[in-house]
Amino acid sequence: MNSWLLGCLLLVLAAPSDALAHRLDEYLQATRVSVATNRIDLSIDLTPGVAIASQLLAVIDADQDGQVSKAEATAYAQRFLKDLQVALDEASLALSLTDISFPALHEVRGGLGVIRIKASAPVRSLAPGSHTFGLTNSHLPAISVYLVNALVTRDPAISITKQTRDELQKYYRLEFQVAAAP
Amino acid sequence: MRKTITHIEQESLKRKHDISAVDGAGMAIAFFPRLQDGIAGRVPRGNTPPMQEIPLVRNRIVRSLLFLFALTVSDFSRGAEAAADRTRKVVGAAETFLATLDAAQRKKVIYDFDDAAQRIRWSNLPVDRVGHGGLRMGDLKPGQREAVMHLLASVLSRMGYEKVVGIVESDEVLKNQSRSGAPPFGRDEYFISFLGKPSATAPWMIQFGGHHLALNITLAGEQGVLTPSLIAVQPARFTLDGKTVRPMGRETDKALELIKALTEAQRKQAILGSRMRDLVLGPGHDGEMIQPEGVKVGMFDEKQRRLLLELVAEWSGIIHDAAATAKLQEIEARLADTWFAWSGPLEAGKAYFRVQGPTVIIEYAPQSLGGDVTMHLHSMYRDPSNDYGRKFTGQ
Repeated sequence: MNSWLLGCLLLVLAAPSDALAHRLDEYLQATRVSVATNRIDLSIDLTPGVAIASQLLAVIDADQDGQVSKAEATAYAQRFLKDLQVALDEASLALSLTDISFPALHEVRGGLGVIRIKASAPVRSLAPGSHTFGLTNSHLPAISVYLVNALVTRDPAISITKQTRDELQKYYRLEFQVAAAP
Repeated sequence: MRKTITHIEQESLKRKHDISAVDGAGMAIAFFPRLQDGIAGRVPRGNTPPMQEIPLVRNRIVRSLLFLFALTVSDFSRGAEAAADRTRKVVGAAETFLATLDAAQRKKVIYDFDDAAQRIRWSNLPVDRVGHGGLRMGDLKPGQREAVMHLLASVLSRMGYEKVVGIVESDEVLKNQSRSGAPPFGRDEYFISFLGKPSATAPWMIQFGGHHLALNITLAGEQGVLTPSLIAVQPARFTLDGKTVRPMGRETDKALELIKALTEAQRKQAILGSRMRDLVLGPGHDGEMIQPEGVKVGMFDEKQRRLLLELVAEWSGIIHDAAATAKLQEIEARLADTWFAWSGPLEAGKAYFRVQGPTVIIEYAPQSLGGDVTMHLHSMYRDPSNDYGRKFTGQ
């Protein structure tokens, strides 16, 4: 991971002229959190900027054949999830990868491709009352820009009460209430 | 509360009759150079002010384009037209455009109304990365391009039409700034398509967009829905004929005015403690609804509510007046459940903001690409209850 990180940090900032319209030397990581009484779902969009895309692809494309296979994409998604720490009521949760969608390589190289990862953590049925969900994202912090938001829950028993983030949105805390069954 | 709407309508009418007072309006646009042929120099009738009296519109091409708008929407002085009348005009403009096309072009421009793939095929990205459907403006003959502009003028308000033309023109500036041989920017790189056939009664849809612009307009009888639409610009400020043009200038300035008008306690609630570096609900996020944050508009006094509605009207008012008025009334009716959030400094064009209510989500996100965040703005306009007009269409 260290050599990979180092590679990503060796950025070539002299991007092509048309790159002024594209994301450049940032890695946008946008996470949406969905809470239900029996599971937590995460949906993550990863958009590497044009100046870091090639370095990132070089790492993801492990066999260096110029393609990102399903296995390579899945391996990267698993590696990404290891950099997420999630907890429910201060107890760590284990995330399982449920889906990975990898864009065309030319889109990634152009700073326009979005890697979409879905992950889920089953939880025991939540008791009525107050609960907290915490997420810390430590994936490539030197080059990343983070967004984290809760989706409006479709579970009528749950009401979100507060979202807290640090300035960079690497750390996120969601507070919510579970209503007693009628 | 009704007084607030009336105020905005009055302001809107005032702007229409004094466009020199509107930042970014009346810019010199060379969108369709051929339009000046045979049109320049004529003075529009009705209550539209003589253009030679307006400093920003002395340019012949500007006069031509605004005259085109005046021809299409003939009488501003009566206020909002009946929605049904407007729909008929839009259908007429669409059929006029279709009549200019050959069979192959007609086949290419019209999709089935239930074509789900084409419905969501829009983006803020440069067009070479998106694969837009429909007809490319650069592939149309001058008369066909003119017909597209007649159509846009018929379905948009004057403010919306000018904003759209300004965004396209900014993309032309971006193209001219590019050092590569064939940058995917500029006036030619916009696409027009229909979902369904133009109809005064049955649902259909107009899509017009390209880089930094995606208009998705659903029409269903008297109903007109602009959501979801992406409104963005780069460069956000440029000079044309010696005048500064800011296609998203008013919304930028109105947002700052609103955040400054809040009390200290309200502002503390509105300002998020984290950086928002991009849109949360941009392209690809149809149907998602994020948890609202910030300050509740229900806490606002009358002046603050008016400022918020004037800000919202910069997006809701892009569509023609009849639909825009109905939409703003709908948003106003739910202000108690609406939120306003801000992230960033209290400076124009440097901060993210969001307006979120039961029937509206507006996000505005300056982009750090290219250095000066104030020069590259993205915004998204959604209605979580009625994107693509699904209330009326079932799609």
